Amino acid sequence: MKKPTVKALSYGVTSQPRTYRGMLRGVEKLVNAVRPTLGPYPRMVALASESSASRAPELLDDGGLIARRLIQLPDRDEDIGAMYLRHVLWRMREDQGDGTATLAVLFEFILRQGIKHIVNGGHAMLLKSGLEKGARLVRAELEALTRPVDSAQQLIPIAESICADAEMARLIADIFDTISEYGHFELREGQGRGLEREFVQGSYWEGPLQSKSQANVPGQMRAELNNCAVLVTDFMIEDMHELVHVITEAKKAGHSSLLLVCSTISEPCIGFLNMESTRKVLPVIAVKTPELQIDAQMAAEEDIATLTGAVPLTRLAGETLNSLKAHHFGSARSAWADKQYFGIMGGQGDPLKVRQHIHRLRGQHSRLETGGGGVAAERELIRQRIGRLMGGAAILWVGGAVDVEIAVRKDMAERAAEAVRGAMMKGVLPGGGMALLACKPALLRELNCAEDPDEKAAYRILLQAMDAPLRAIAANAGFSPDEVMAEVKLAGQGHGYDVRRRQVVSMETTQVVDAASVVTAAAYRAIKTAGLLLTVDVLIHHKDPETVTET
Amino acid sequence: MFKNISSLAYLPVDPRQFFAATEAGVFRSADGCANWQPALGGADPAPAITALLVDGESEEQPLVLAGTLGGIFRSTDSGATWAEVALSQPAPLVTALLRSPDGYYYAGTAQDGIFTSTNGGRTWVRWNFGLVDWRVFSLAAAGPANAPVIFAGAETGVFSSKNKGRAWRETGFPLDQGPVIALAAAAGGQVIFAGTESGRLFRSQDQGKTWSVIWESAGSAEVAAVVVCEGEAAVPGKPALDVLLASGSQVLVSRDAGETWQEWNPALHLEADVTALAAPQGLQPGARICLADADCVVQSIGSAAR
Repeated sequence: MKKPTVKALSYGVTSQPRTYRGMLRGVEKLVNAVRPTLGPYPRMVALASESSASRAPELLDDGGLIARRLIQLPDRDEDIGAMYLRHVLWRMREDQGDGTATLAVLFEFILRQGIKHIVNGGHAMLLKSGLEKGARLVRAELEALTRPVDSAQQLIPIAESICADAEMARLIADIFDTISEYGHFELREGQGRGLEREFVQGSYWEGPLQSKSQANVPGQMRAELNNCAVLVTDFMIEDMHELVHVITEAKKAGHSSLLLVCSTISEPCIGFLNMESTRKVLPVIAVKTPELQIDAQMAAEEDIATLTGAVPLTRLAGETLNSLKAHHFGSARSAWADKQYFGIMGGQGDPLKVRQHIHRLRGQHSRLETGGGGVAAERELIRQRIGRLMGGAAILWVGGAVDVEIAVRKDMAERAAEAVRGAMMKGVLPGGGMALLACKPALLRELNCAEDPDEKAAYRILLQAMDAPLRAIAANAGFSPDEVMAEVKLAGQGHGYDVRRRQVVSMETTQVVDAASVVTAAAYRAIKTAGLLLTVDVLIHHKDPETVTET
Repeated sequence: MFKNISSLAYLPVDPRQFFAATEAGVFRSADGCANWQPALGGADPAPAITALLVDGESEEQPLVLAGTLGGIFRSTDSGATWAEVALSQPAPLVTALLRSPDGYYYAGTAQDGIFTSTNGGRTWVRWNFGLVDWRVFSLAAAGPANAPVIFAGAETGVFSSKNKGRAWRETGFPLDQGPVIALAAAAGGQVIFAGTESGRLFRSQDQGKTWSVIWESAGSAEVAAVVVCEGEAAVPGKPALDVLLASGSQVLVSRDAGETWQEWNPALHLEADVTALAAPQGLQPGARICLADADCVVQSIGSAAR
C-alpha cells in the first residue's frame, strides 16, 4: 500500500541555493526553446499536437506563442522560473507582437550573471536597484536613437525580419504605407498558393444583410445604395406599422433610399421592404447591428453615427421606433452590404466631428499603452475603430500548399503586421541588436561613475548583456558569435553586424532596422523583470509536487 | 459673356494663351486676357466649370482639363475639342485639379475626396485612404519629380501625401480653421501656404507639422487664391519666396515668404472681389498677373517696382 510521508510535505518550500538553481534551469529551458527564433534566419520550433499524436505538429517561430504552449515543467522549482518568464514573454507578445526572443535572451543572461554576483556575496536588492537604473538608461539611449519612418522602404526589412518572406514583407509594407498605422488590416486564407492583396475603401463592419432576398446587384449576394439615409438602432423591428413609420419619416426628411442598421427584422417586414411598391417609395437595405457584446456594439453605433451624422435610436435612451424624427437619420454617398459585412462610403457627418472623434480615440489608445488581457483587447478594439473611421482597409489573402503552411504564414504575417504597425507608431532604430550595442558607451560611463559595488556589478552585467542578442542572431545564422563580436569591436563604436549581407555595417547608414517600441520594450522589460526575479529567495509550492511514497 | 469665373490658367509655353473656367464653360484668350472666345460650351446649356488645369508638360501638349459636376472634360488641342470623362456615381463636384511633378493628376471634389489619374486624365480612380475629410477644395504639390509631396485643402484642414496620393495623412493644421480654399507649396514641400474661407492665410515651414497665421483679412473676406514663386535666395540655403494672395478686392504680394505684405499695384482699385488669378510671368517686380473678379472683369495688371 502506498501512502504519503512527512518528507513529501517539506517539498512545499524551497530555499537557497536550490531556489536560484531551480529557477535558472527553468528559465534556460524556456529560453532554449525561444532562442532559435531570433534574427533574420530563425529556426522553427515544432510542438507535438496536444490532442492527438497522429496530427501534424505545430510549427512555430514566435517566441511568445512557443512560451504560451509550454504549460508546465515537471520540476516545480524549474516550473516557477519558466512560468515567470512565460508570463513576461506572453505579455510582451500581446503588447508589441514581437521582441520576445530578444527579451528572453537578455533576461536569461542578466539572471545568470546576477545570480553569480549574488552567490559571490552581492546584495540582491541593491543589484536590482542598479539594474533598474540601468534599465532607465538603456531606455533613454534607445529613445535617442529612434527615428520616424520616412518611407515604405524602411518597413520592408522590419516585416521581413519576422516573416522571412520577401514578397510578404513587401506587400505588408505597401499595405501599411497605404492604410496607415491605425488602418484596418485583415488576414484571410487564400485559395491559391501565393499572396494576394486587396484594398477596401470606405468603412465596413461585420453585419450581414438581414435577408439574402435584399441583394440587388445582379449575380452577386450584394446590395448597394447611392445617396442613402442611414438609421442606426438597436431595436428589433417586428411591427409593420413601426417600419412604415421609419420609411415615412425617411421620405419626409427628403431621403431617396435607406440603410437600416438594426438588431433584427421580422420576415414579414423584410417581405414588405422587398415589395415593388415599397421599393418605388424608398429602397431599403436592412443589415444587422455589428458586434455581439454590448460595449462593442455601442461603440460601432457611435462610430457609424459620427461618420454619417446620424443619432442612434436606442432603447437605452428610452426611445421607441415611433419617436423617430428626421434628425435620427444620417446619410452617406453610398452603402453596400453582403452576406457578411456592410459598408459605408463618404459618410455625410460633420468632418470636424469625425476628426475630433478620431483624435479622442487616439488619445484613449495611447493611454492604454501597455497591459495585457482586457487592456490589450480594449486597445485593439479602439485601434480597429480608428482604422474604420479613417475609411480604408486592406486584406491579405494568404495561400499555401498545405494547411500547416497556411497557418504558419498567417501567423508570420500577423506578427509582421504588428511590428510594422509598431514601427509606424513609435519609429525605428538600427536593428539586429545594433541599437543595444549603441547603449554600451552610456553604460560604461555610468559604470565608471558608480561607487556602490552592486551598482557597478549591475552596469557590468548590462554591458555584457547588450551583446547577447547579436550573439544569438549570429549563432542562429550559422556564424561564430565570437568572430562576429570581434569584427564589430574592431570596426569601432557605431557599428554592428548585418548577418544577411555578412558584413560589418555602420549604424548610420544601415538598412537593417527594428521597430523602436519593440526593442525598447524588450530591453526594458528584460532588465526589470530579471532584476525582480533575482530578489526571490524562497519558493513555495501550493501543493505537493509529487507524492513520495514508501512501500 | 462670362459667368462666375472660378479659375484662370495659362499655357506655360505661350503665356499669352489663357483659359478661364466659368459657369458657362471654358473660355480662351490668345492675347493675354484681352479678348475671349468660348472654348467649351458657349451655347446653352453650357456645363459649369469649377476647376481648370493647363498642362504644358504633358506628352500631348498642351493638355487642358476642366472639372465639372460629375466629370472632367479633357482637351489635347488647346481647347478646340473636348471629351468628357465621368467620375463615380453619385456625381461629385470637381473643385480642384492638379498635375504633380511626377506626372500624376489629381482631382479634388466637394463630396468624394480625391481622384487620381496616372494616364493624363483618361481614367480616374477615387483613392482616399487616410483622407478623413472628403470635402476637398484645393490642391498643391511641391518637391522633386521622384518624390513630390501633395497637399489637399479640405473643410477641416490640410492633408498631405508622400506616396503619390496612395495614402493621405493629417497635417497639424488647426481643426477649426477650415475650410482651406487656397493652397500653395514651395521649397520641396517644406513651406506651405493655406488660405481659408474665414480670411486667414496660414503658413507652415515644416511640411505641415506646425502652422501659424501670417495674414488676416480685415473684413473676413475669404482668401480666394495664393500663388508662390521661388526667387533668388538672399540667404544661401534659405529660399526666397514671393507670395501673392487675393482676398476680397485686395491683391497683395510678399517678397519675404509672407512676413510683410504690400499691394501688388497701389493704383489698382477693384470694384468687386477677386475670384481667380494667374501669374504667368512669375511674381518678380514688373511682372504682370491676370485676375478675374466677381463682376467677371478679367484684366492683366503689372506690379509696382520693388
